[in-house]
Amino acid sequence: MTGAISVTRVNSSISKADGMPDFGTEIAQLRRYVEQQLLNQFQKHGYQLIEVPIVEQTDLYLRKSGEDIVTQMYDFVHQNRRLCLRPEMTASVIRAYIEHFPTLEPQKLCYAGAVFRYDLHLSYRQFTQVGVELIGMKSAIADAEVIYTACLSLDQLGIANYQVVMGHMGVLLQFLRNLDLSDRLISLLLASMNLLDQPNGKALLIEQLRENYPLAPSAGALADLFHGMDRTTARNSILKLLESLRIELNGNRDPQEIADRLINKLKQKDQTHKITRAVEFMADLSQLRGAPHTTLKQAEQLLADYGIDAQPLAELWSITDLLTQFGIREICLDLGLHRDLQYYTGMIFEIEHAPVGRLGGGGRYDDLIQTLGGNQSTPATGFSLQLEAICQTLTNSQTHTQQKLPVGLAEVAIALNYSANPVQAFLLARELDKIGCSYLLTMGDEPQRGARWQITAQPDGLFRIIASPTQLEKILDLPTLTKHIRNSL
Amino acid sequence: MSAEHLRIAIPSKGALEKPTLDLLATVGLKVYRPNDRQYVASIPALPEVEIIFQRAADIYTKVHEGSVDLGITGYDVVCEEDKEDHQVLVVYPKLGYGKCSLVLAVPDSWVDITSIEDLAELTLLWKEQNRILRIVTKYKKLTRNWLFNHRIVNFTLVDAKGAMEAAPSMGYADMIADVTSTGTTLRENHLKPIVGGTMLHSQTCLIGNRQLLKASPEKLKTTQTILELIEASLEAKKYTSITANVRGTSLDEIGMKFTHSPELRELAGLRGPTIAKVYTAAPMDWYAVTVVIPEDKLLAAIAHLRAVGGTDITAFSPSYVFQATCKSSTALIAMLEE
Repeated sequence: MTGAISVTRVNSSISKADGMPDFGTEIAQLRRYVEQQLLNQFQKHGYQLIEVPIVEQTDLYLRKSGEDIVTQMYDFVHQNRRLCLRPEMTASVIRAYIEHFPTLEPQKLCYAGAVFRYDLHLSYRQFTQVGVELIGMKSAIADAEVIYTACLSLDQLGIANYQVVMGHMGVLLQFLRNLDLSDRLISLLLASMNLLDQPNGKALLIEQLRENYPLAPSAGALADLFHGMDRTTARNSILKLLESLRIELNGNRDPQEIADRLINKLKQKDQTHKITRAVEFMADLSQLRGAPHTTLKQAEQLLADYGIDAQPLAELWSITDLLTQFGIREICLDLGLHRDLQYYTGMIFEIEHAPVGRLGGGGRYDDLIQTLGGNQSTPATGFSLQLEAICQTLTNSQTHTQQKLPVGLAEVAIALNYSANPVQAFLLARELDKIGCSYLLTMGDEPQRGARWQITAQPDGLFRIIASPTQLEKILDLPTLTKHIRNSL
Repeated sequence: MSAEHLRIAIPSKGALEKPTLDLLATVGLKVYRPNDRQYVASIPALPEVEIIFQRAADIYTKVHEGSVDLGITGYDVVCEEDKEDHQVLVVYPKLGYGKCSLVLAVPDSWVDITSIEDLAELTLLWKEQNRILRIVTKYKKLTRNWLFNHRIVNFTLVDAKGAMEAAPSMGYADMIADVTSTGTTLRENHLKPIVGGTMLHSQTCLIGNRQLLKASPEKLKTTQTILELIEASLEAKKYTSITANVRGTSLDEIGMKFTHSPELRELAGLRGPTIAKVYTAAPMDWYAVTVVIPEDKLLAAIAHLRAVGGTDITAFSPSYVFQATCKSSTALIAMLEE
């Protein structure tokens, strides 16, 4: 028996990392085309292209993105610095905006890029967001503009039958804050919003919260002891009590903070009532889905019943009005709509396409710029479309595939077969570039759809040119051929 | 050394070495190690096996990379090191020793923090102050995933330097996430586990490399032999075999005494009592009754035997209890086919 241990190499080939996509040539070409079309459309609307890095500091997302995103990040320590792959584009774009426009003047920015989310339920953990941010305008027209831009860019790609679903974060947030619930509880409630879609959802949600969250106070009689005391007296009593019990408060925390939290815990009343109220309101809210006019009327009634400020509804009225004027008819209001990012403060929307699902979405985020270090409150709104979903929609619709694919080839004037004489072919290609004539270099003689001429670079240095659709054939040398093409265009 | 030697890595030094060797000896696979400094050894009962001593923490990696076929290590290590490529299979999940729990613990002085919800609220309070909770741990993956599942995100994981339990008092972390079996070390360092903060219950387990077991029928066969012995031996710990002499007139009469009521089912053996005639010098009718019963039913079974006139009662612990099929062996085949 020897002591040497040889390592058996189990894997000889390397496969791609789990959840990371390869895109075959056809899809890759479609993706590039769609991305370019979208960006062109955004740029025509005055949005300027910006590129931001894939790797960001994790802190960028910890500040405001919320638990749903943060728990899905590719988060790692490199050279002692905590970094991550960006899980979405907006925070990066806003960080770049603050760095490059420190005076925070209004800007219209657009972008396209890969984002990464580690979610075991997603078949792909890398996907591409193409979108815009409209910074510095707090008006219904700005919100309507971004929705309109999103719709227009889908129309341009030939995508129909989508629906704009619009909601408003302000309604629910305001209600929950009025109830004076802790941030933790608000976060848990928002995260369980989707439970309410199930039958018996209300009971399920309350049950779940009761299991995981201590709704009832634990201290009972002790609470009465501190009830009449002001905070300073209570705090001093607690600190004295702990001192007399020889419990030292020296574990990296301010003794006052410990005492204050303890008093809060002791004073906490049974929260079951508040939770029930919150869940009932959330359930009522999530019922409000449908045509804008009716839904807004119902919402006004609900908010009046609960005594909540109807300002968010006024905003939705204005946005809906504007969208109708822009000619967008497929609008659905959903007051229970909730997005997985927590920085939204106002209108939120998603674009749904029946077979594929969500094509994209966005909304207003008026606090993010200040949270990320901007020196004053700056309103902003925006959206992103998901490239993969859009390409899926396009490949699903056969008509589109035939009309617009293969990408770019429809505009090809010349199919240039270069296999027999690459040098001559490349010289011709250089001439064609000079006169701005589009061409496609091919390896074979098979006719290219839409090409006006089929040209073959022959071994003897001459070119065989067949015109379409006459099939007239000529043999020409390079200068004559160039001249011929220039004159014909 | 033949190419088809089955290599098994087992913990060397540390708390798991002795109980692992004891377990193997108990199941009939005593390890022969010529001297303590050698890190390879053999099992005379299974000459096709080669034992390799490794640090418990490295055994997962050895199995994953394929330098050994099987390994015995803590389930906590397996979960923490898991590469999520299904290369490493848990072949036998609970070997019955090395039990511990992965817990979150805070300084005793944090009197306001008792539950995981308290901790969650503290992280949100600190987030407002741009402060982040620092948790020192060797179990970064498990800790992160567990906290994420509880929607707690405002924390950072700190590398352990030396004695981890001292980190909060030394000030380079606020709290710890670590394994504990009795809680003594935590208490000695003025730390308390958080209610609802137990992230994993662990014990020692047997793991294997999927590809290697799949590729070699010989290795798979040896693995199945080992599983048979482990499973039957651990199963045997649950049972006691009792034999008593009972007087009666016929086999059937004695049989009735053990089967007449449903309450007797657990006292009458796995299927029912085995009864045999005892040939005595004096012409009297004695029968030997043997029942195999769950260990915790020993005294109840003795009481029943006495009640029906039993005497000369002997009880043995079986070395093995083999069922009709080996469950873990069947499970392994199913996992390999997945």
